[in-house]
Amino acid sequence: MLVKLFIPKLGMTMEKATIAEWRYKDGDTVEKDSTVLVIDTEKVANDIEAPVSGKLVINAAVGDELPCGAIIGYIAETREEYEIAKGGAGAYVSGLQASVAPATEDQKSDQHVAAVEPVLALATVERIKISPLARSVAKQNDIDYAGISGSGPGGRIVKHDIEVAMTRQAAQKPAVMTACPGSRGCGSTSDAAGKPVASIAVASAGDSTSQHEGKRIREVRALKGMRKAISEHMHHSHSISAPISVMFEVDMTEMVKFRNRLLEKWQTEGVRLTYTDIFIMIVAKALKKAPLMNSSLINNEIIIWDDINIGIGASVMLPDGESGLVVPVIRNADKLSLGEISAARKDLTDKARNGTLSMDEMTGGTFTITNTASLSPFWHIQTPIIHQPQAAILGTASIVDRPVVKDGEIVVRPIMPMYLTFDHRIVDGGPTAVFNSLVHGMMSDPDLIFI
Amino acid sequence: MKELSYWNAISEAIAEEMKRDETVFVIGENVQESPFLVTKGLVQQFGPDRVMDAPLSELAIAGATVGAAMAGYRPICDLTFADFIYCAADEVLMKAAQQYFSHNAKVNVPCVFLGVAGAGFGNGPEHSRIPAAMVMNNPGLKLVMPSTPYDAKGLMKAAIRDNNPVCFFFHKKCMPMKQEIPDEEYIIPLGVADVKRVGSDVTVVATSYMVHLALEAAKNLEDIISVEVIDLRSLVPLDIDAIITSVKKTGRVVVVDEDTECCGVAAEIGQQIMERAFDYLDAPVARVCAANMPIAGAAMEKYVIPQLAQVQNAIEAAAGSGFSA
Repeated sequence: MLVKLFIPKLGMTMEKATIAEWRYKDGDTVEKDSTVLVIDTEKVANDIEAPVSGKLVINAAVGDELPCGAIIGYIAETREEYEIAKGGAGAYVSGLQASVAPATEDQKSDQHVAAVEPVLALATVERIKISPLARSVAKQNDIDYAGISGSGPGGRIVKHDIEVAMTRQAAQKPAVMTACPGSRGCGSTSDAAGKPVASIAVASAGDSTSQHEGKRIREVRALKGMRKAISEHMHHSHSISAPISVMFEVDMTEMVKFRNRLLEKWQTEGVRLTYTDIFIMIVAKALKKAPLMNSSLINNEIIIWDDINIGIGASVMLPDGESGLVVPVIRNADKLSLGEISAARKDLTDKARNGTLSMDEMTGGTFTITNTASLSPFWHIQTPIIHQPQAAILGTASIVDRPVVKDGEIVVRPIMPMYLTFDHRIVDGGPTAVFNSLVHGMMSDPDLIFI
Repeated sequence: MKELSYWNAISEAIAEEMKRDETVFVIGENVQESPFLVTKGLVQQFGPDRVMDAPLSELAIAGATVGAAMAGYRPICDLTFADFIYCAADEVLMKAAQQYFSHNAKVNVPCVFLGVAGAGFGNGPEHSRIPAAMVMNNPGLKLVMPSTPYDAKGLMKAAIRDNNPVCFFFHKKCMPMKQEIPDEEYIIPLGVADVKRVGSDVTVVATSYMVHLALEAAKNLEDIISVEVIDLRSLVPLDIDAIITSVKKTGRVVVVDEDTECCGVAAEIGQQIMERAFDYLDAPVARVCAANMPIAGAAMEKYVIPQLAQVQNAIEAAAGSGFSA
């Protein structure tokens, strides 16, 4: 039997993947269930395992970005099938008609098996309205129009919008590296017309004397993988939303006692109740009472979600030693007990750390919480960026002893700063204040969680 | 130079051609009196043999026209109202248009079907049409729809000299318009559009009286939007190159046509623009046409026929929100 290897659809919103690594060479014999290749999706790397044993035929190179369902190779169980598969498109297409068998049922049940039939895209991709002229001008000038807001009828991107984007991009582009005398690493990267022809990376990354605008370069890294995904997402979020951040503090005296009481009474193997778990419960309850905070602005419509799916910002260390960020999602958090939330949070953050989160575990969020306490164990506040297409993101910081005024006296209390960034396109200060009051109330007096 | 009105420019063209070529003659209902003026005075000059009054049968008149044309004459058939082309449909559409093809290019039918067209006077559904799309949809016919006295004269001379049947629809609303006409002879070839106003933001394509609506709209908007107005002058042959050249410059186009919208002139032009200049369009091709209705009479007419405000709105919509006072 000749079995197809193709890019599996690992999540509802997954559209494409990049071939990161082939673990075998073309023509190698692979064992069933061994990892044949690794693909990079926007957020995670996935191992693709051999559904059967046989000879490997590779049809896609490392670095190729391919849509879900694209055939990337074959595993041939017989010599004859191998020859068919190697025989070029014409030969194997006709040969395959007879010999390619669909994956068996149990293979289908495993997402990480290569021969999973691709699931049809259920999530609709938001179509960008752009005039044909604007599109061709964008293409000619290599402008990514995905984040541009259109000024034409119905929000269509028109030529003028592309021209504005070009002007903006030109302003942001680093100055062409021509005038930096006395440096051998500095070459001209502009053509005769003064148009930059290459990125900074060509200024020989390994050469310690290379410079850019008179500054010596230590290292040049390509923007790729998770860094690229984060970079694009953050920029996209700021470019389409009107973020505004509100900061406040909570006296955590009662919350600290509350958690300590729970810790004494409730111990499950391997799961230790965290403040984050309690915050998830509090936020889920507050969102139920302030539904506009649990919404998305999509295609000129504000969609208020019935499901309360809370994403948890998780900082991760990538195999290359770089840090990354993932946002696993606890679905229907409003319907879970604190114990269930705690267990789900532990499971997801463990997976995040191990890089084994599935696409479905990172999508579908309706609100996000980011707890930066462990990153900065001192008093701090920040202005988080909204996880699109959500309406808001709530941040919680470290609990630190601070002087506060209580009944006219200055006393020391455990204080936690909180910060909420919300999209002013969707919601104004009023409903946000209601949400913040609910959260503040339950945080400072945990008894209120049960009312 | 002399100032001539639109109708007078047409009659002068006919007279000049009759003088030049003895095979040219006029036939129609009351062409000697000429209620629409375009053959007025010709009978005095050329006599009743060449300015023939005919009985009230457009089909018979058109039939005589086709026969004479096939026999070597260059007749001008006055249908009076362009609407009456439907009465003469068999002779115009089946015979005049197709004989050349049926006879393997050995027989020409050089004739002109003259008709006063268009709305503006509340004449009701049978006397207000400008049956342009119907003519365009019948291969073998040419179609001329002049907007100015100068164009009308030069195009009429070209129509008479053309070896094919040419429908020449002149507009009621243009009748009193006056323009300086050169003393020396000139001919405007069919199928050459004229840029009546140069602009850079939005192209408006029009013919006949709609050109004047477009020019008025362009003037009203001139502080905000630079409008280019293209007068096609003839719809068959269609100067699509002139349209495409302009669209490539402006990226936005409004087609204004007085005929009914459905399967109309604007639909055809819009499609051709899409086929040839899709990647140059910055806005969807817009059209302003007569509503899909019989043309209402009297005060109701303006609810069917394109009005200035509609043309202006369409130009503004095509320009988009980037343009405002």
